[in-house]
Amino acid sequence: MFLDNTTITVQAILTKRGRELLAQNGNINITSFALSDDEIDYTLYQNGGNSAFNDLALRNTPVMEPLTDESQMLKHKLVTLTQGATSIPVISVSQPNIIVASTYNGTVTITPSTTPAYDLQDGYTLVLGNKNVGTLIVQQANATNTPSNIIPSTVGNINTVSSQVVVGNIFQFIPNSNLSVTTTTNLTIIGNDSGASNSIEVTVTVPVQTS
Amino acid sequence: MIFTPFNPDTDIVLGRTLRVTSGVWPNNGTSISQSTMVGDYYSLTGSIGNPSYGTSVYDIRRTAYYLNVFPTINEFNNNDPYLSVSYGNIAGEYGSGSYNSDINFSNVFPTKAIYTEYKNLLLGSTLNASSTFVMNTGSSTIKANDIFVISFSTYKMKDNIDAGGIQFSLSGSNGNFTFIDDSPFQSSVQTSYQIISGSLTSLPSTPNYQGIGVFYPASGIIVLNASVIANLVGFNSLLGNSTFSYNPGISTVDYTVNHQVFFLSLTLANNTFITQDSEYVPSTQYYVRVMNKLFNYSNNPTFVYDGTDGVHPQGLIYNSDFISNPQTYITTVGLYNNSNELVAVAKLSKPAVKSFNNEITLKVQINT
Repeated sequence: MFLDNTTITVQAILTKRGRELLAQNGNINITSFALSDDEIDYTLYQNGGNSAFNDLALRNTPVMEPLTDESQMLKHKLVTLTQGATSIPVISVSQPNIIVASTYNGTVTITPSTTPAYDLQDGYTLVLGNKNVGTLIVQQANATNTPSNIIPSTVGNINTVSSQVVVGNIFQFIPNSNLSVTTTTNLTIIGNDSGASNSIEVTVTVPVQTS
Repeated sequence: MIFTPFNPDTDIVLGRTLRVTSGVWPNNGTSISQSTMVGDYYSLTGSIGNPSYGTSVYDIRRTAYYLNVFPTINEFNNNDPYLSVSYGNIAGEYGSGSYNSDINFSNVFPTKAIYTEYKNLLLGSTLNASSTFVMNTGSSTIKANDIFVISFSTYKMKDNIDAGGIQFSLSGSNGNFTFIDDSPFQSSVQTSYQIISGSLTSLPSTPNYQGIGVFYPASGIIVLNASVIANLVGFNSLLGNSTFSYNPGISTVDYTVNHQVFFLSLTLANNTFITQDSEYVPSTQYYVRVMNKLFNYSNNPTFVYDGTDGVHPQGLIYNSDFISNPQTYITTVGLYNNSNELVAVAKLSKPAVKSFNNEITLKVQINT
């Protein structure tokens, strides 16, 4: 009788957020899973041939222990695409960056898109690193219309107090008219279906006062 | 798609309880040399009968009631006791420690208090004031009016001391004697087991019941029949000192000598104390079923070109082999709540290859 190796058994640890929820609610209400390969360097794969050793370097990669800080885990998630795909979804926005004066009365429209087409169902999560520069509002909600103020763990080291998070398809940015000094921050855009991400700089300029 | 919902009916198994066993001793060891054991009486006082702390016999640190036992001097220095040993006497007016030399009157009854404490704890609700511990002698039973007790720290024994896994030795004027519990000879799980002579590596063919003692796994307590043990092992003038003798009627000292004699017998035995414990951990299991068409592509930045070389567009898969036969290497499983918050994470011991040609089932276990 040999061991059944079709099932891999692993032990999970609670993240800090998981422990908080367990303490608050008595349960953590797990509903879904995601997978990642953060440690893997795919450039080490040897293309060509039928050698069983093409991926030896990848299979031998030592795996790190899990960390309890959720922002440091699963930064690069695996994604499901149709067979034959040649590209991984890439998020783009029309503007390479946003530079706007604090006195600007209008709004800046941000319309992310994913190529190839993706993120059509759950839309995008936008994280404004420093909410002091202005305000994000949702112009068009995503199909499932599930607003969230949760920062996806893929964003990494984001201060939850100073940042703003919105979910939708199309967004508007309104600069803070009370800003006292020119300030630049990052706007991170995450595809909620694809896991892809992109980041652009947002700068709100303050006119120099002349006496 | 990066998140896959669980099917609560088929993928989540609630209410599992796992038994986790480990050694009781330092570094999860299952055995410790008895000769390295340290008791807090000798070390703290410097000399027997001369406690260096407290002037009152009521001060429990004078060890009239029990001795804390440390596996080695290291645990002693860290004040990290693993067990205690004590002596109990059902009568109490006899037995060492019941006499207060400070006031020349018997008004402290540590041995009776010890006996009653363990009796109330271990013998159930049907006992009365005259109930005693009873040991099995094979065809009949014998009452134990005085007892030696080994009691493991709850922190160290976790949920219970495993039956069939204990062994300890005592040394006296009659030689060395090694004891185990009789669970290997029982056909069903019991709440208590008799202590018999023998060793784990050399089990007797049949148990020889001598009324030695009783082992309570769930309480982590071994109750030994003091008079039987003293006669069997020979607790007379250990180390050639008549002070180190078992004497249930001694009444002229304000400290308890009998459990010190028992502890000394433990340390003099040139053998190991073997013990392992069990912990029952509630857990939930999540079955992560990665079907053949799922998760064959990655957002890992090395999986694709970044578009900076002016030749390959951003997002194009880096390895040409992966266009016809994409492969990913799973290292991490993240479990999310309905707000997509990462609440638990598990790592695989080595990357698991995933492609359109295979499926993987991961059993992710969370102990809560």
